[in-house]
Amino acid sequence: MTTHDAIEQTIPSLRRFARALLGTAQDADDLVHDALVDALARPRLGMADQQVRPWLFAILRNRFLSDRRRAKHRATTPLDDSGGPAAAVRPGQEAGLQMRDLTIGLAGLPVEQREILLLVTVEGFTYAEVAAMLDLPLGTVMSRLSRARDRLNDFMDGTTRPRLRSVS
Amino acid sequence: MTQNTPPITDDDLHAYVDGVLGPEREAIVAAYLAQHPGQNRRIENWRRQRDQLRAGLAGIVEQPLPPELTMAHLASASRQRRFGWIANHGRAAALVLLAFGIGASSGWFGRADLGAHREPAATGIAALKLETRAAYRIFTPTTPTRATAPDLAAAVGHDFSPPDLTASGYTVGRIEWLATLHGPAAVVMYRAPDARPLLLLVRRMDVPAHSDRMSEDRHNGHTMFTWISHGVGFSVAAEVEPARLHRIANRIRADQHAL
Repeated sequence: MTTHDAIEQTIPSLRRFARALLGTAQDADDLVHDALVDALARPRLGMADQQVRPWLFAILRNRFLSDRRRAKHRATTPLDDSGGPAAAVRPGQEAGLQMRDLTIGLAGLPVEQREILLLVTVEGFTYAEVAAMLDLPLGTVMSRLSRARDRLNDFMDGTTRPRLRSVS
Repeated sequence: MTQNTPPITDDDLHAYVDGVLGPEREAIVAAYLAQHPGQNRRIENWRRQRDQLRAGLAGIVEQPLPPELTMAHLASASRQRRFGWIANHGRAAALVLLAFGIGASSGWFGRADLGAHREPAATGIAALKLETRAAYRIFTPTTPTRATAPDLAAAVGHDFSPPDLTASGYTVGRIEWLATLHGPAAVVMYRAPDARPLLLLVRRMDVPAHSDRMSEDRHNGHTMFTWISHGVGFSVAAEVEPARLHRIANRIRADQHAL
């Protein structure tokens, strides 16, 4: 497999991660596009196939953060109210209300917890990979993961459940 | 639990849910959870979150990719960006080559001085900036110090392995990276018992080129043949008799055509 193939195979899961981070499909695909153009403009040599995926996720996440900073700086639409990740998760047929709560809970997590929860649980990265990707100590990754999971639990249990927003 | 068992931590519980504990530790955590229903409920919730998130997001990876996320489209968007940068920094800059690791370890590359096409190249700090930029695009902590044949193929962008020059008395000595302003290049150094090393440089050309006419240059005692084949640039350089090097270059070019 060439690096080209490895990049190509990663695109669907990059879209998934971007959707869960951002919420709307168009914003997510724009982010994936920009991240991949960044990646292709900086070809990295000697990268083993299994290094390609974490590399691309790291580029996408950095791009997400810098876009976000720029948007905040310009003080346009507040990002957290622009749909958020709530819209990302389609309620499955059997998942129903609980699924809806989960998506609202996910949207309510701070970005630094949300990204780690997604990278570990949905994208299946190891803790060490996530730490390297986000340039964080392993302990920070673990404590953020723990906070994300417990916070989502609390939310699902209704302990800190805010009034339900409607998700269209 | 024995006295020597390290206490259960939150990290253990996460690793348990994520299935990354060793079998021994996993059994210890499972026993702990059996005795601590509160913690057990906690990790069951984590599991449920995970399953629901995966299920809820699964549809996205199945969707067909929009046209702007296909590799062909992305590659051309990225090329435009790169060319924009090169255009901004002047054509001369494109001639600057950066040798990494080769000169220091062999002393050979420095003498061959393939980077000597200095015509109107950037100098001083401007050159340093360009070189750093070129290197930054290519080298990471994970870039191996010594390249392998698949790395070479990745640099060139298609299936390519070091040409077999044993019939000419040369064997592959080592393969190295080169950071150029046009992206990665691979350098293959061949050794021969009776001659100084021969160097082959290969990189993808970023301008569509069709001519595979060979050009010959001589510099400080070494000869160089350069040509482009199927969008890939080749050059061989060695301190050998030009006719001998020409035969070798012809053989390499013929092998590439046969692919």
